[in-house]
Amino acid sequence: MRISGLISLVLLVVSLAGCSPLLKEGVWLQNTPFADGNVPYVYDTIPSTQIFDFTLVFKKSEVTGIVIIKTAGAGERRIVMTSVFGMTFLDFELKGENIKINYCIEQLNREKVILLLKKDFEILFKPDHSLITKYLFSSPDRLDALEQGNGITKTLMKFSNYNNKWPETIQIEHPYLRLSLLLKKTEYDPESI
Amino acid sequence: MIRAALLLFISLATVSSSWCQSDLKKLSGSEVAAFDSKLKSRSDATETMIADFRQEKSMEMLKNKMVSKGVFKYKKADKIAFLYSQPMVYHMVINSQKIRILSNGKNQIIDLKNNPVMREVRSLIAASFLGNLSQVGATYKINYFGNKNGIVVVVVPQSKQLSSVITRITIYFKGSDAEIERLKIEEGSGSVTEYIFTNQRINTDITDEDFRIN
Repeated sequence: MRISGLISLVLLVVSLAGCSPLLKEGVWLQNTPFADGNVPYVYDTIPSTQIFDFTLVFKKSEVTGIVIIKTAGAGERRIVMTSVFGMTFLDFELKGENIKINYCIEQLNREKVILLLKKDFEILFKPDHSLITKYLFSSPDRLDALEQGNGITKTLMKFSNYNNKWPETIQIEHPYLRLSLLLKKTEYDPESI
Repeated sequence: MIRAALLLFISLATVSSSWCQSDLKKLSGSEVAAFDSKLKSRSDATETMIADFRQEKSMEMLKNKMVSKGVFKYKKADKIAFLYSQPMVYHMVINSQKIRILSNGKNQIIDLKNNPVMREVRSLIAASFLGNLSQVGATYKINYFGNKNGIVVVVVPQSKQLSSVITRITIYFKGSDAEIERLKIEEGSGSVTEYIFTNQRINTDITDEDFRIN
């Protein structure tokens, strides 16, 4: 009885999490001018290397470091997360829908964690990654936030500090997992590397 | 064996010009003992050290090295601080069994018990300054090489857990006074991070406040 009660409670929480919108003022994709495609991108597709400081928060634990994103083309990127002190945590490549893990420390090497990060970066690189997405625009070509997915892994992304068409602060949140990833354009000069 | 020798050659061949010469020779037992003794003498005379440091991270995906700079502080026997000032302010202070990280203006305290990699890096840095590299234990394979410019100590972790993260640590001691010139960490990821120490000042006034954790 106790177990069935607990399962019911979990199902209720998960279903409520799936239904309750995080982006209350947002509009669904089909109600935007981009229902047929071309949602404004928030990450440049031109081949380049960009560097961000990152802060990963899970419950009360926090990890900070640097994320380096090398874009070879619209659908091809390599992402490396390292500590400021120099140790690499994670190195993976996204090509189309495929992921190739080049390196991952043991503590991070969990399928669910990797798939969640994969999905987060896929949404970041292609904001119309899924039809089940709500958007918040500040102007027709500027995306301020989006909400995507259902259930416990529901994702909320906020884009701010726009500079020359691209946001320099990106907040990725999974509120029901109490997990967030903050990316802030770093002071490293990308031209120098 | 050939692969290991090749890796060692590549490792030794990619350092600064003063170490690039192919005249590095493996030290004999008596030469290692003499170096250990010199390191111990230097350590006995060193209570504190301050140096400027330059961190260079090389990655296969980057054309150039990622460079950060700051001030390094050491106080006998287990206090170490890397105070980054460029391109951003970031502090990593190790005091006994705790690490304090200052990032984005916020402090975070980590217990070294939960971070085996940083614990080993701390142990090796401290052993280098304390002059007891030969006593770091069976968890490492240590080889000593030398030429007229100084001594190169190559440390290879033997534990599976550590060697998956760090494959090799190379410590370069300059000249006749066994001064640490650089520390090179090669990772399981293939990346290489070097810490180059310059403008070293020994036994200057460093207070415990510089290593405060809480």
